[in-house]
Amino acid sequence: MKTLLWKEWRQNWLVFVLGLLFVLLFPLIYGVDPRHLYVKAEDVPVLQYFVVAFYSLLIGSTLVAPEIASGAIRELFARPVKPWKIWLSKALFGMITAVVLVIVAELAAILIAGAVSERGAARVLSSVVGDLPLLFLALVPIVFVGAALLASNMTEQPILATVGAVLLLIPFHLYWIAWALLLSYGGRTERYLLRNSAVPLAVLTGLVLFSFLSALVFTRGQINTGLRGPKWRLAGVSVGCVAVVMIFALLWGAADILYVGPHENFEVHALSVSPDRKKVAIAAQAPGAYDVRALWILDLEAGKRLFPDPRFDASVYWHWRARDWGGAWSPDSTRLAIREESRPLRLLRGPATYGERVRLLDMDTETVREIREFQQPGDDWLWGPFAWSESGDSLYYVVRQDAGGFNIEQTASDGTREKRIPLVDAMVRPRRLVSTRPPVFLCDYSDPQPPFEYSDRKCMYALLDPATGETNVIDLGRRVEAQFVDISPDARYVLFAKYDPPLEPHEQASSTARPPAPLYLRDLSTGTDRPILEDKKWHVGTFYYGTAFSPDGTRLVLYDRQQREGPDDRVDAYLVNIAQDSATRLIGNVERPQWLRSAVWSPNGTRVAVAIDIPTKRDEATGEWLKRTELRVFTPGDDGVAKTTIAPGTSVSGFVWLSDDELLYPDGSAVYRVNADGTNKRKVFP
Amino acid sequence: MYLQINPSSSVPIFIQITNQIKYSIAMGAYRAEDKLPSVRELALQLRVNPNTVVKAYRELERESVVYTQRGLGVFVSEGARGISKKERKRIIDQQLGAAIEEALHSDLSPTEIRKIVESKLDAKRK
Amino acid sequence: MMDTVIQTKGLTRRFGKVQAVDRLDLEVPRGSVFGFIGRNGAGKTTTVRMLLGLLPMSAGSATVLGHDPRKQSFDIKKRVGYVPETHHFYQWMTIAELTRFTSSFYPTWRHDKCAELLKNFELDPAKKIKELSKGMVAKVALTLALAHDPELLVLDEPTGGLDVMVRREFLESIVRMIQEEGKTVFLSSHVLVDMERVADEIAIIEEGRLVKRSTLEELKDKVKKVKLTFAGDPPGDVQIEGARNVDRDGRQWVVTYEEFSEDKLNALRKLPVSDAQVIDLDLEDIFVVLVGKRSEP
Repeated sequence: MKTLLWKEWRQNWLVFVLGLLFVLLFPLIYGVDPRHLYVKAEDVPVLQYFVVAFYSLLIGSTLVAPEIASGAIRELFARPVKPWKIWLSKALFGMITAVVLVIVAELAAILIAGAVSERGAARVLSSVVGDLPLLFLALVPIVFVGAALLASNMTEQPILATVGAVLLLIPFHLYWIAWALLLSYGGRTERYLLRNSAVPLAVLTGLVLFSFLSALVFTRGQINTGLRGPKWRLAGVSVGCVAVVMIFALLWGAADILYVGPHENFEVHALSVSPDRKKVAIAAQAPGAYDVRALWILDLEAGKRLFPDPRFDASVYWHWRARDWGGAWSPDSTRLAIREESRPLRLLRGPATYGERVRLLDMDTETVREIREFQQPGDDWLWGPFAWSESGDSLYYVVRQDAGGFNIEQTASDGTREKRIPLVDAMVRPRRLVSTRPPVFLCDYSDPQPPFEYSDRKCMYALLDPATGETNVIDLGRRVEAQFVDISPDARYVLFAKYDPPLEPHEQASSTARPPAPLYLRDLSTGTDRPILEDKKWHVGTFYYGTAFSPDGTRLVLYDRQQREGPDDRVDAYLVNIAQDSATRLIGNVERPQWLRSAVWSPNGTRVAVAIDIPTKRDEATGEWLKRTELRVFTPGDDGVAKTTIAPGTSVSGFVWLSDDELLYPDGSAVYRVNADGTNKRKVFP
Repeated sequence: MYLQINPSSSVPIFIQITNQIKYSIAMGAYRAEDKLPSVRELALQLRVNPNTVVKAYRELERESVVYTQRGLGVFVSEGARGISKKERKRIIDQQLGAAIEEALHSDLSPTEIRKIVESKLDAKRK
Repeated sequence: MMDTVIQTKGLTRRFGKVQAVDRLDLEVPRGSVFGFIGRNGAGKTTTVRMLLGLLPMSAGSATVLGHDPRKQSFDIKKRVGYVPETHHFYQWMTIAELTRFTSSFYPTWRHDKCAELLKNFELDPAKKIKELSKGMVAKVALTLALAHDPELLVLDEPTGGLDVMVRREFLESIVRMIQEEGKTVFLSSHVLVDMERVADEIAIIEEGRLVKRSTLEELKDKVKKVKLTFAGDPPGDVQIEGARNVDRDGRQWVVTYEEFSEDKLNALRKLPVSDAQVIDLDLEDIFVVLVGKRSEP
């Protein structure tokens, strides 16, 4: 065997060296100019797998065909050597070459793409290695070697063998196209392929079968030449078997994608209640599979689900962040606009790398309408946020043009585009919705030439009326903590903090090093600032969650982070009464800032609830704390703030107020309804 | 020993070998007690099947022209010359007989044949 | 110890409708040089390949060195030195690399013998195969076949188109091999002048069928021609017994016999001939007689 491998190496070393050059080609091109390839740095390693895979065809086909052509294979068979040993030496050489090329290709990709990308090599590496099933792609080149080896036995010309291998692999190609279509239809990403065990199984089967059958053909087939011999039967059988397994895998995957399964498979993450309080949108995700998401609409009164189509469950992607839930209910509660991620399949133009669309769910007819689609590269970007016009006839959303600049697009609910308003002022960058009636967007307003000194920068915002496109610029002045600015829901008051004295350089550099600052309130109708809560300076420099104004703007919940470096970080939550200029502490000494979520006021402002994680046990293995989440409901009254604790369970932070007296919160895959005093807890979903 | 054999001839190779060896002995190239080439050597030299050489040597031994000493080789025996001479005479007898046969077939008369023979002998005497 | 090194019974090979080898019965005794001759396409190479297990048999059986080529061709290959008609060595290898590569397959390989053979054949181990002439390649093949001390040497047209020097070297190798105890040579060749020198037995194959099997000596004894010269006009209705061919050319007839005997000659002499001359045939002529067409006797 050693001599056989030596012979294979001596005979085919050139193919190996050329392969090394070949796999360096793509990363080098990428390294020279990444922009022209429309590929993200993290994708280069993945694409390299396929580069190697196709080169593997060449490797495989040169392993046998030239020897058949030159007749050297007959010499070999005349020697006392078992034919399977000869085959094994070729297969081993081919596969070892493929594996070595894969390793070199991946290293080159990681180093080069990593050097060029902003994230650096380590991040690119972790994006590859961190997604372990992705490593499975390393087997694809080996399968290709097997196929090429099989084809190489059938013909004498290496070129024909390569062609033959490609033909043999046509089922694979069709297979991947079928998967792409299925994924697109079912709304999944490519990562699904790696998680669904049927797919690696098919690839493995291909590997085994191609290799085994190429061995058979090799050992038997050298006896029969000619077109109708057993060689061709065996090849046909092998391709047939692989096809059967692949079809099985495809069907398995299709069933898996199309049949979403019971709701117990999902974890509810966020809720959104319609304005009339009769419906709730439930956003859920399959744990561990971030691209498997579902959106359910529940009619609370009737207690039944709208949009019962199971395909609807899985095909809906949506964007959500804890506070800016990407959906917008129309004022009459009959329509819900959502923002979805999509992976459109454009067969001729190649896959889009990213896509989003705006869809409208009509509650009365239970239909879904496409409003607008965005596909990158090349198209505009959906910037969000959404808002409905006061009348509920139009939907407003912000679009960022590919060339820069923003448009406000106004669409009627039947999908017809009504208007497109470009935002002329280039400094405006819409951020979120401040009020819904009328809709007002809060925008960042960027200084075109920000000075180097952080504290000399001006902190500016703009309020944008999406109906007209008019902006109202708010200049808060210098030395304002930019990460802490909030506007009351009626768009009347702005709360901010100002550093006095100005920040030192080391404080500028690190937000955790910032000192406390006094708070001010600007009345936008008069334009005057007045200090509030002067008896204390507040640590508001860095927060996961900001303030929460009450609906009428008279009170707010404020978080003060006592920044002691490292494990002594503590957060306190205060209830501030603006008119009385008083602050009452609601929650004290929360150990980790991220354990305290946003405060959410009830619709009429009589209560405010905060979700808070309570550590229970430390996981020995990871060092992470296991947590239980509680809802603390505070009812401010004349004689202080009453507190109720509702202690449900896990992913509670997605709770919403149903009314001033009732809450809905998710727990695992269920949604519960409970009174504000914690009584009468019942499950409403599923 | 230089032997020339003609494999195409109808005369079996081993007989060609024995004849030529006897001829050499008769001519005095090999004397009594001289060692003949081994089977190996001769077969190699003539590029013939060693079995053929073995056969030849056996035939010679049968006719007491040579004798074998185990481990040492094949040697010319005493009186080989005499045998060889007898053999030589037999060969010549055969060859002359063939020539006369052909002469007769060519319509030469016995008188003419005698004439040729005598003229040849005379020429040699001189 | 076996008497027969190769034995076939009804060995047959079909390619579609064509019978390449048709019920061949052969017996090759140990220690002999067995000559296997036939026209191009008569089935010689096919037979050899079946004996070594390189080609499956359509019917019949064979035993080589006690092994069945269908099941134990591995064992056969280990003990047989095979020199095929055409060589397809890896052109990029040097002779040294090729011998090293080949030696790995044979447990009985002898590097000293291999080096000696290369030296005798005047082959430079550092030369690449692609630099060698046809004759040198043939010698390399012979070296590889002999270096592992095989019990049986199978040569299939080893010297086709090669010069006289190379042919002599091959003959010498055959002679050397036969001298060793228990070694056998199976030689299939068109070069009948070389065959004549060394073969003990001859088998002639024509269109897949065995036409003749006999010792060389016997062949030479039995296959003969007689040239008849008629004094006057030859008789029209004469029957000649036991002859394979009669070529009539005026007053000169040539009678070809497959089983010549003195009696037959005497019978001929009874005819009104002025002369009846026996013509001895060399192996080439014998072959032509046995493989050619019979005509009216």
